[in-house]
Amino acid sequence: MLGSRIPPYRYDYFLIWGHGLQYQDQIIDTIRSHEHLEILSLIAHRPRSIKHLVKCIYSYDYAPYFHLRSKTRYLMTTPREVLFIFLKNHLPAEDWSGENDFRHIESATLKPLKESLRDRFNDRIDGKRTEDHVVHASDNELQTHHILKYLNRGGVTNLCEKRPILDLPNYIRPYQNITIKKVDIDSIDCRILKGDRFEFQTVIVPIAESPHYKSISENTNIYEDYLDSFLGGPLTQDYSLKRFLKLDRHLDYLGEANPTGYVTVEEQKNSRYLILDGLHRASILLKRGIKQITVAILK
Amino acid sequence: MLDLKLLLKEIKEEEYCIIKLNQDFPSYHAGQDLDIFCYHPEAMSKKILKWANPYLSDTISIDITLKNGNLHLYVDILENKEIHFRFDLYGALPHYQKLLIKPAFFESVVENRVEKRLSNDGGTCCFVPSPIDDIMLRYFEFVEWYDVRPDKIKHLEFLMAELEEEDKPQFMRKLHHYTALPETRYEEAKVQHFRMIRYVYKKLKGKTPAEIFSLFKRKLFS
Repeated sequence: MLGSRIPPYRYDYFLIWGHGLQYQDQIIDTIRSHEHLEILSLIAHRPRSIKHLVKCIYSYDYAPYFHLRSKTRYLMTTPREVLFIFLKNHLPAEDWSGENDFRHIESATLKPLKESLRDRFNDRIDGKRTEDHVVHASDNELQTHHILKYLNRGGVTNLCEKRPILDLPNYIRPYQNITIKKVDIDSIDCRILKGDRFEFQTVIVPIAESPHYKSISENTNIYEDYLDSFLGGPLTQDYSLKRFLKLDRHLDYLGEANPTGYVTVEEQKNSRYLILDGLHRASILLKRGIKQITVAILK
Repeated sequence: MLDLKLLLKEIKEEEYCIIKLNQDFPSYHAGQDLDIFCYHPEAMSKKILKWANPYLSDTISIDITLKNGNLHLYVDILENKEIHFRFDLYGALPHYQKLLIKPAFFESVVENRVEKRLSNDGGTCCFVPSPIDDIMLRYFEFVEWYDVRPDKIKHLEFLMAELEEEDKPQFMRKLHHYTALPETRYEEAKVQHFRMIRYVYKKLKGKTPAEIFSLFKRKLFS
């Protein structure tokens, strides 16, 4: 082990190749349930060619690309769509691995999980696991940083950046002024998505017409179908039906656990408000019959 | 209306120092403000929001303004859109124009803070600057607002009354360590004058006399 130089956490990623996307939900569930891993972002990606993506992924590898060409040949026939799962690794447990020229540092937390996912989901021939891996994982944080830049997502600092005071995700525009006040829940609208994860539009509707509200008041499949269509595309946070239903049961809005967890909105014309963050919470409050809620209005 | 004693309990673990504390505190009158030096203005503002949430109603709202790279925050409790009470949170020294003050004075104030038991409530306490730092801060205010706000003279009166003879040497030592006088107005004027000459020269360089005349004519009669 590296002793005192072991960092308290680091940023890693898993990549699900095209032929592994059929197991996407199970892979994400496995990673999500790992006690030391926190999913930060899911990004679906259609590269211009798999060859180009493979070269990019492995250009920061410890092994030279020519060595990996045979190992990665199988990827050239996989579908031209992948899913990146970016995570905060709370127990990097960095240690040396490999031999001779290929000796390198990697996370002792990620490695067994990666192997376990490959054991479960790699194709098998005569009962034996093939090396046509369905998942790839980062060896170090630098690889994560470079992949984020390749995806035009800034880098690892952007991954964890939060907006001040309210700890909002960084896709919310910067603000200089916040107003906290009570508003009628009926005066709040939200944006929902139409299309699919690569080609989509947004539509503004009242909360009651959102798939979030409909799934907890009518049919939970509505939310699952919504996530299937858009997770990894315009929806990059770690959403799941299970987490939403758990929130529905346990939400204590602005309670002791999260007193500044306001539904965040911006004011529209005709005295209405548009949700920027917190549609899940607003849907739950509407279902509970709350007439007025405390919101944070960004200016 | 606002129970500021409850807020003091909420922020007791924070590293903060209330400067220019009013003698009636925690009582207050509408429109008053509370200036707080703290290492983490964002964390402090969250504690204030947690305390203030129960007061929200149809007539009460909260406004937060972020300034100076989030090192300076206003948290305003508004009643019918008028400021009822303001928390002025500083993560660094305010900017003074009349004096140059070393930024480290901010940390000196917070690190040397003293606990003050509130006279009308035996159990509640807050943190205020040490006597010397308090006098220095009031002195800065007096110098800063000397020619603008005659009511700031109250800081000089306080200073003269509070500064004991034996404290004067320490006060002077600390004042000289942390402050310096800025360039004089004459020096500023000289620099501005030189910049103006350079600007005009650049504008006129390479122009014929007729073009220069035309330029002046345009400027004079525009």
